[in-house]
Amino acid sequence: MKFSIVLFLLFPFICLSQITKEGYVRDKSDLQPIESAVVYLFEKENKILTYQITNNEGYFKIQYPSSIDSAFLQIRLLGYETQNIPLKKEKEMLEIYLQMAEFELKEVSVKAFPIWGKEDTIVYNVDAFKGLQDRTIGDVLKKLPGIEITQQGQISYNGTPINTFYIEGMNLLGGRYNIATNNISADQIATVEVLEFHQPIKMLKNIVISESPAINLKLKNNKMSLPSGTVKAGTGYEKDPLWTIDGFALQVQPKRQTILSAKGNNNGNDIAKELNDLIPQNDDMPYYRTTSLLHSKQVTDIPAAQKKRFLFNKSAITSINNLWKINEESQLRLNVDYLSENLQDHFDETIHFFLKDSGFILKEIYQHRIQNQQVHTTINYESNASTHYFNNTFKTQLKWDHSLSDIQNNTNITENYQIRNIDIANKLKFARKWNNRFWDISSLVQYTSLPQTLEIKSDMNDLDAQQRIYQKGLYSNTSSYITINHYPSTWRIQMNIETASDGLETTLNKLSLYDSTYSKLKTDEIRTKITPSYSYHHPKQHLKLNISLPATYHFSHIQDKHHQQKNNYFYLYINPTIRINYRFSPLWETALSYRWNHTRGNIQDYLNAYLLTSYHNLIRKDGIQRDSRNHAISVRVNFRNPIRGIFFYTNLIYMNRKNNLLSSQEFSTNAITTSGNIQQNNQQNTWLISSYFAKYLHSIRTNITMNIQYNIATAEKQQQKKYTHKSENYTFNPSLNTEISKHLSLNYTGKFIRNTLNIGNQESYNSKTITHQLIQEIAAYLFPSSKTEIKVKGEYIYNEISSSASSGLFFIDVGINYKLKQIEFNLTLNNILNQRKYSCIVYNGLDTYHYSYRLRGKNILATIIFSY
Amino acid sequence: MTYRIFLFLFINLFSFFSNGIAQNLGLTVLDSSFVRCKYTHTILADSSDINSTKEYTMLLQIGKNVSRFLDYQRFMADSTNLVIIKENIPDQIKMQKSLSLIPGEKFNILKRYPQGKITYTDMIAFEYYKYEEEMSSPEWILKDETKTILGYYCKKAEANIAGRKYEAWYTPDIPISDGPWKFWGLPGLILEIKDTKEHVFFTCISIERPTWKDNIYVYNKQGAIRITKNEFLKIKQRYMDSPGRFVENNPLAQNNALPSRAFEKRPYNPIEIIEE
Repeated sequence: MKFSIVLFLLFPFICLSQITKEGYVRDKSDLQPIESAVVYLFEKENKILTYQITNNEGYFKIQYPSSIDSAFLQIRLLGYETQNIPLKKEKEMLEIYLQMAEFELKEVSVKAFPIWGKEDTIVYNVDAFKGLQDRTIGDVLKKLPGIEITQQGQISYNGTPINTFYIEGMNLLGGRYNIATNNISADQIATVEVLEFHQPIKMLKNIVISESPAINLKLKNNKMSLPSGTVKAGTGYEKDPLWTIDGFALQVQPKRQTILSAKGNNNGNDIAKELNDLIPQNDDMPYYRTTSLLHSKQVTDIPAAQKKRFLFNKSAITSINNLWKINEESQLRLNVDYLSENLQDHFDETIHFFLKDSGFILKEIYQHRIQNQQVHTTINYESNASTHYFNNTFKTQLKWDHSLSDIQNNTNITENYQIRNIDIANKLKFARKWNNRFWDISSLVQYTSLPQTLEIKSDMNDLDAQQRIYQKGLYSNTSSYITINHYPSTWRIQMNIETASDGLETTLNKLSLYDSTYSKLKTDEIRTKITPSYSYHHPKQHLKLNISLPATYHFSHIQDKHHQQKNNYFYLYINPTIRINYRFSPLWETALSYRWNHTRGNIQDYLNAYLLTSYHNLIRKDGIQRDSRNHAISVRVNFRNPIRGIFFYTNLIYMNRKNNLLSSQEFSTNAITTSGNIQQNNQQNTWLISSYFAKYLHSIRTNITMNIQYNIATAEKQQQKKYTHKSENYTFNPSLNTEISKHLSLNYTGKFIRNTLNIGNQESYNSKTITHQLIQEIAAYLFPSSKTEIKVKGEYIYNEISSSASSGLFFIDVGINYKLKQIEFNLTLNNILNQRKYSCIVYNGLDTYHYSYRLRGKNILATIIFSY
Repeated sequence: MTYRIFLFLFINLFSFFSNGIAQNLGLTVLDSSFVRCKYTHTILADSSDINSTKEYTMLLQIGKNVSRFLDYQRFMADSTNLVIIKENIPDQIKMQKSLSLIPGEKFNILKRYPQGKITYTDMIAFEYYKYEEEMSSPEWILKDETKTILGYYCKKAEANIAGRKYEAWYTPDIPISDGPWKFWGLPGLILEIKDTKEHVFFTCISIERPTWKDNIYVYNKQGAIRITKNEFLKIKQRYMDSPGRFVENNPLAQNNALPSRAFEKRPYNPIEIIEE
């Protein structure tokens, strides 16, 4: 109370001794009032007396004691220049004008979201998923919900393989993106972006619908002044010394990207797969693939087993990749790869040929030595602007394959395959846009030469033979289209002229055969294709539709130079396709597609001769034209909720194929099979259902995925008499990776497969074989300290070989890793239990193949890794 | 039980669609942000239960004229939906359905919209409610204490706001008078604020400058029911006291017996305490 009275008494005095300053703060450029600017009143340089915030009229009123002499106002607002205004003692109305200014903001974040989405882009934050055990970006990609990676390294997002792999928005590697995923350190990547429905040609965005996604890696540092990467060297022991050596460098700058990689090892690490092209060819203008009639023996992919366990190799690769950005739109890319491999392969093979009364069994022991050398070069120039597109790719591929097999059945046989392949191709694409019209011209020119020889020698000389084949071809494909785009509809008419001139010469020297051992064919073909198509796509609506109706007029001129015959054929076929996409909500999407495809055979079908493809297999070619008609229907449902980390898809595919040729197999007394075709209509039916579910639980850093597949296929085959075989299989593939604590991470993958093979006639099946396979793998990573990592990995593979026989194998690998700044030491012990033999079973039509492979035994490897 | 909950949800949604409010969706862009901050927001849902803390991630979009504060999860779901929302098509209803199922805080705070005011929108049961209030600055008392948050030099300030005593940390290095929730009025951005009982807590987890056009928009939709702030706080209290009783007058709810759980009192610890 007393206080109040004192205050009341003092009131006039206080009022008198206050100075009031008021005024308006405005933007200098448009004189608009600035709201919420901070107006500080300073007494001295560092002493703030009070402050005010301007109101919506830019007005402020500030009071201070008159005893203060040198007061000044400071007006601050982010985005404007700070202004200091010295104050006079008398009352005044201030008009303050602020000048806009560039501002700097220190951008910070403590806890970023693991996944987020913006329209058609899903962004994964690498740090949120990366565990201490993950070295390369590929290790992290495997853990991202919605992303799947095959054994070969192919990346799919929600069930669809990617069509482009970018690093900082630039396509440096083309389809050989394993070079990036297997080598770039996960620490360098900030985010992985998935660009859904990615159309790589800018001006066609929202006009030509793409089904495939793309991946873009965003680096933490995209202006590297020096390259970064790793150098690795290691040595170890199995029966012989092991070695591995490895160097990788990456440099990313706004105008240039470079990746250099050189690797070599003999420890079973499959580095050759880094050079595989993993991008599926688009239908627009595919490269020609000439399939060689002879196959040099390769180390086969053994079902379920990890390649490192059975690969006896001496391999080296080098890869040089450069990209220069010429301007905003244009870039030049050069890729050169070299591969040299020496592989060895040991296995027992038992083939059960299915016959009416009793089976027929062939037992063999194989030892292969394979030499494989490849050189690829690609030069690509691309200019991708909003009004035009230009792309030219020049590719060469040279391949030498040489394989030598020692085979024991009752006698000793050697097979010596030599295959050389030269492939040169140039592909050009140019497209332009005027208002709502597009014009495009593309051309492909390709030359392939493929000489192959097989020489067979046996103890008794009775199987001795020599097969030579020379395949070559010159191809061209020129296409042009015009598009008229009446938003949201697009009409397009495309014209293709394809020419192919193929040559095929086969010579077989074999004692038991006297006729049909030589042939020489030449074919010239012209395919003229007119494709009208219609598509509907409104970027803001849910429906995407695409219908195309290509009509092909096919002319072939065939010259049989050996028999001095000439024939001309004409065909006309229409192969319609339709595709519909519908988005129910931002999260749910569904697609339906139908494709009808009528195809005729190629030069190999005109052949009228015997071919020997291995010592026990002859192929009889009768010169009958193949004619096959396919229906394919697929339905898919997609769901993704990036915020909750849920990804899901289900795919259903049905295919029906009607053939005029039925494949057949005959047996002669000395275990030689003759396969060929007989003219009889037959059908193949395939159903495939695959489903994927992934959920990421951010709070416990756990990713759970489940993959389920079911497929059923029926086909017919002539083997003494006509049989129908139906194979049915289920696959369940759960996986889990979790970070239990800072000191422990676990990865689990399981796979359960059930195969059924039914053989019979069309009415009923009287033979049924069921086999099961179970694979479980668990890896635990322990981090006793931030520098040390201990890895323990257990793998169990159970294979049923027949109803009575099975094999169960248990593998243990352990490793220890010690990190000292830039240097890491690693010691690994593989296959501690020293498992040496792996048995499995493979079905091929009616026949069953039982393999028993030699495995790498217990081995030790010590490596030093230097990261820079 | 699960069935009942579903039914309840369904009624919830159905009535929302049926009231015709959702008919004219579409949105108005008010501004675009030049600074974006995320905050972790924790609140003790039940003031008598120390373990009832709920955590949300919130987003503050600061534009030149308007700023917006809302739940980040809902915002993201929203912007994923945005492409679709722009169109006036019936499926917005489906979208709206997905939105209302998304967990998180449902309120949306616009500062300086309309000029000099705060617009607050929130959903109670299945209706949107909206009120405006004057944007009067709290009586902040500036303190000398300093600390660093996210690398920014921060100063302390204290004020009594809506029945709670707050301690705020603002950074003069970002001269924007804004902050999480309705908080503002300091000579710098508020990076952290909590009440002295530690029931309400906001802390900044990221500051960024958008390189894209980050729109600040409002839905024309909602046809939210306009009420006063006091009415809103009372309605919310009434709803939390018994959600079942709150909705049972709805003709849709009458025919279907609501689960007894719906009538139970829900813990409620509002940021703003009603001044009786």
